Amino acid sequence: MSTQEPVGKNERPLPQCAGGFVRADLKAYLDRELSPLRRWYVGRHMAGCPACTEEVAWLQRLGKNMRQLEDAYPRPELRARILSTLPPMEAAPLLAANTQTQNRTDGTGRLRYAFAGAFALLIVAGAFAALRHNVGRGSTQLANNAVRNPTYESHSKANVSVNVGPTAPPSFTNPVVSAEAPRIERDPTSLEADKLFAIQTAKEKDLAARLLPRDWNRAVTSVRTELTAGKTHNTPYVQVTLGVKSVDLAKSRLESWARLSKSEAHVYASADPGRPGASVVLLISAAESGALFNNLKQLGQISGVARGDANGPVKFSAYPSASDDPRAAALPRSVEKDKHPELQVQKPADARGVAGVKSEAGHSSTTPAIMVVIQLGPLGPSVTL
Amino acid sequence: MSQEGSLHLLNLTAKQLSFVPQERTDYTMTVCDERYLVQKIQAGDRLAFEQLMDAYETRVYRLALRFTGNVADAEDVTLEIFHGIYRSIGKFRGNSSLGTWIYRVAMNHCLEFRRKRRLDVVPYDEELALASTNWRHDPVQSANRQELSEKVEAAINSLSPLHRDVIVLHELQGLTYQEVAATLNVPVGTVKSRLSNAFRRLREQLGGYVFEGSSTT
Repeated sequence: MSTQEPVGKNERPLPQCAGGFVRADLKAYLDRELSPLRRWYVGRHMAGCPACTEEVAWLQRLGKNMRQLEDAYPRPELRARILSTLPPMEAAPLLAANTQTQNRTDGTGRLRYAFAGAFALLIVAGAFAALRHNVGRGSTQLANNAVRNPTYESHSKANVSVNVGPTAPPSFTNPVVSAEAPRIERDPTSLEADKLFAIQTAKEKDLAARLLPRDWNRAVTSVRTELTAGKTHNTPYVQVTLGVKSVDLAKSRLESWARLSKSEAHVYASADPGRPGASVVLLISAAESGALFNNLKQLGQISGVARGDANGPVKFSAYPSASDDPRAAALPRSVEKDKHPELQVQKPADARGVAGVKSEAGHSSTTPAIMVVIQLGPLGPSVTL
Repeated sequence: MSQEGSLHLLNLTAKQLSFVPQERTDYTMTVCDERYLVQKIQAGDRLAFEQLMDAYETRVYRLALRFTGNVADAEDVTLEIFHGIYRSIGKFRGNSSLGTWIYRVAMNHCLEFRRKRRLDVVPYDEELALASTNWRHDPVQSANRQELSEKVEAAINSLSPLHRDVIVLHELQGLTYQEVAATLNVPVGTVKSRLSNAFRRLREQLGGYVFEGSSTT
C-alpha cells in the first residue's frame, strides 16, 4: 500500500550508486535525450540500481515542482504598450528570405534543391563541352574572358586559339554558364533542432483554432469593458462552441473546475433530439478567463467563440431535472420552464445592485463576473486548408 | 440559483475593476503557420504580429522575469525583445524554427540586461511571488509547500549564470536540448553536461526535501 509522504523537509541520506558512470546520463535519460542504445543501457542499469531509480524519480519531481513556479502572466497593458510603440521594420531581403524559407528542411525542399543543383551542374558541364567544341566558330563572352584572362588560359585543358572577331556580342551573357548555386548558410544545430520538432502538416491544424485565442481575449475584454462601463440594459456573455468526445465527462470536468476556482456553474442538458449535448454556464472573474480557456482547449475542440448579449436568445435547452442536479430542487419554479425548451433571456426589472462571483460561503465579492456559455456538442471535422 | 437570477447578477451597476492580471493563452504553431505568419509580418501585417505575440508573449515575459527579478524590468525587457523581433523579422531566413529564433533574440536581450546590471545572482524577489497569480493554488496552502517553493526558487537563483540559463530554458521554458543549444549557440553535449551539473548542485541543496508526488510503499 502506498501513502503520500508529507511535503517539506525530511532528512534522508542520499542513496549511492555502485556504477557511477551512468549518473551523468540520468537527467538526459529522464528527458529522453539519449540515443536509443545508450537509453537501453541506462535503463538496464536502473533496473538493478535502486539508487539511480530513486535519483530519476527525484529529478522528475523536482522538475515538476520547478515548472509549477512558472505561473506569471504579463499585464494586458504591456501588450498595448508594445504594439503602440513598434519601431519601423528593417528592410527585408525578401527574395533571399523567400528562397531560403522555401528550401527549409521539410524533406521535399531539400530534394528539390538537390535536383536543381544536379541539373545546374549538367547544364554547366554541357555548356563547357559546347564551348570547347564551338570555340573559333563564334565568340561568347566567356570565351573572350578566357582569352583575356591568362590564369584561365594557363589552367585550361583546351589548347585552342580563339578568333575573337571584329565585334564582340554586345551584352550577351549566358546566365546558365555564369550561374552559381545559391549559397545558403545553414546552422547544423538549428537543422537538428528542426528535425526534433513535431512537424505537422497544415491539414492537421484547425485554421479557426489559430484565431481563437485572440477572439477569446477580445470577447472577454469586450464583456468586461461593458460591465465596468456600467451598461445595464444588456447582459453580455461569451459563447463558446466546444466539441467533445464525451459530453458527460466534459460536464463533470467543468463543474469540478468551477468548484476549484470558486466559480458558479450551471449545467443544462439539451432537450432537442436534433442537437445532442449540453450547455454549461459559468460565472467567472476576469482573472480566471485564461485558465478557463486553457481548460476548454484540453477538454475538446473549440470551433467558435463569440460575444453575445441579451438581445439574442441564450439557447438553454432545458433546466436540469432533480435527478441530474441536486441544486435543481432549490431553483425557483416561478416559470414553467419544462414546457419551454428554448428560453429567452429576461431583462430584470431592477437592474441595480452588486455583481459578483459567489464564494463557497455564498458571499459575493464586488468584482464583476463574466458569464461564459459553453455549448457542448460532438466533435466536428477539422477545417482543411 | 435560477437562470434569471444568474443573469441578474451581471446586469447591474459595475464598480471599477482593480488590476487583475489577465491570463493569456499561448498556443503552438506548426511549421506552415510560422512560414505564413512570418511572410505576413514581413509584408507589414500588424495583425499577424499580434498573432505572434499571442503565441510567445507569456513565454518571453516569463523568461525576462527570470533574468530581471522584478515586474517593471521584465516588462521593459519584454518590450525590447518584441521590438527587436519586429525590427529584425525581415532578416529571418527560416534556417531555424521561428521559436528558436525568437528565443535567441530573447536570450540576447536578457543576457545584455544581465551584463548591464552585472548581476551574477538574481536575488529572490518578493515581486516574483506577487507576479504569480495562479488561481489553482488552494488558498489554504500548507506551510511546508510554501517553504519548499521558496527553497527551490532560491536554489535556482544560487546557480551560476551558465547553469541557471540552461535550467531556465529547458526546465522552465520547455525547450529541448537541441533548442537550448541553438539558442545559446553551444553544442548539445555542453547543454547536457551543464544540465546534469546544475541538477547535481540542486540535489546537494534540496536533496533532503520531499516534493509533491512522493510516495512510500
